[in-house]
Amino acid sequence: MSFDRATDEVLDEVLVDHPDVRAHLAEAWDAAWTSVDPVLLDLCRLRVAMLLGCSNERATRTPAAVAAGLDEAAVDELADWHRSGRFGAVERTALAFTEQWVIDVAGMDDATVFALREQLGEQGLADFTSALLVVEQRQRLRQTWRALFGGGDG
Amino acid sequence: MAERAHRITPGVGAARPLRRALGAWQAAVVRLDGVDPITTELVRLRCARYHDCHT
Repeated sequence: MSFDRATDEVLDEVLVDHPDVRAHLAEAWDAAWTSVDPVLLDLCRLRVAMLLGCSNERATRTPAAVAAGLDEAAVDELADWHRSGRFGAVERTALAFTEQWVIDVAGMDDATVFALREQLGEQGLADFTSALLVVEQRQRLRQTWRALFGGGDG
Repeated sequence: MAERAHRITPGVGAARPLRRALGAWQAAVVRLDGVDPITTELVRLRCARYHDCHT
């Protein structure tokens, strides 16, 4: 099984015998991009891909984010966002939250959460957290399946 | 375990379409039967503890 292709194609193949799981994950994915600023979410999706070593996802741009003005110069500096001047307060707090989420979600402290809540509001934080869950889970599924079933660089 | 302050006011949740889709996805996953119930429950409990999920 090859993993040198889009995550949607991988999901379609692995979940071919579980169409309800696949359909509901697709619904959650679509809802994520309409519930959260797509540029912010795509920056965080790309940061997740960097941390998980998911090269296919790193090479992908979500159409909703591109349409909303995703800045490729910012993407180029994403790995070094702490020092880059291209990211504002919302992006910086969301990226810090995302990194903690990926690396050790159980270690998420109040300061990281409250900083993002200050930027997004309570509803925004709830939406962002749920959207990030969808973004992260798709990539973790992809990486886990790649490790199990082989093929491609992710 | 020490009680932690709420980070989001009880009752606040993700936007309805996203919340509904996530719930449907998780329910569909739980209905899968490729793994035996005991293993499934052990994994679920381990995940709940790791994520500090009391529900």
